[in-house]
Amino acid sequence: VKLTNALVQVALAIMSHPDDRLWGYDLSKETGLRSGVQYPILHRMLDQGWLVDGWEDLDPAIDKRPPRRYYQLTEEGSRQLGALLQSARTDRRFAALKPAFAALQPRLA
Amino acid sequence: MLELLDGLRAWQLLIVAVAVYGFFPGVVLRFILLAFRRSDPRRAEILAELRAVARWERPFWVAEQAEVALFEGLLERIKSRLFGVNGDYRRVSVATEETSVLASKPILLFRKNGPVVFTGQYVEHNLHSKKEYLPGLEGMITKMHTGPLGGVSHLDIRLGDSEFVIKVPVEYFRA
Repeated sequence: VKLTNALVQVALAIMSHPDDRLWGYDLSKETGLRSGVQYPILHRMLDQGWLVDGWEDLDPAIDKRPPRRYYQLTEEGSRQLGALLQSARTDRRFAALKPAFAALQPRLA
Repeated sequence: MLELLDGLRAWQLLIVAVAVYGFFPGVVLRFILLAFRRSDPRRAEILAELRAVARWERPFWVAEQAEVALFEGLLERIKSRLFGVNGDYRRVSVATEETSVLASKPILLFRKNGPVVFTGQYVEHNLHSKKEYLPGLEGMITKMHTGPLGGVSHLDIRLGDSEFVIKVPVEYFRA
């Protein structure tokens, strides 16, 4: 996997909520990435089994809105993204993301 | 008289605001999403996300989705039509060395009367109903459709229970 700034940002955002359901829009707010950059990354992770997706369980008639699609980290994804972030942490290209790495440090160790 | 004009201007502003922030984002987004295949989950996903976006941000967010639809939806649709190769193959090709070798010659994977397996959820829409075919479902190729440049773009298949599914884009299958 080629390490890019966008991939590392998405990985950081996902790994900061390893047990939560992640929503596309909320994730893009957190990473600051455009949808055109973020969604291809998410779909690649889905293809590789690092994430699973699902649909919110709600009744559109009662909730007055359609169900949203969520993404959730798998065990394999946790391992792979952990390894990816470990190698990105020492990479000088991602020095600007140091605070995010520091916040995630206990989980990466 | 001036008060009347001011009142009129305020009404016009209100109507424009309602149109720009309330009405148009949903309508325009629905048009944009037509770029994705009918069975693509991103159609429903992006439409549902619109409700989570702050109202003032919606026009800009919808414009952003045009980029996603253009490159992820329309371009892949065109590519699949012309060459019979599409993004799904491109995506799995990064997974392992083995799949990348397969991905370089995806057309050779399919042959008439050969077996195929659904790799994605395919939804067939009819006038009043829809039918879902889930990943893992096996079938046999009865006909291969080619795009204008000669690549396989769609397949007709027969399922185990003698049900026929026709003109399914190749990206829903692996051999």
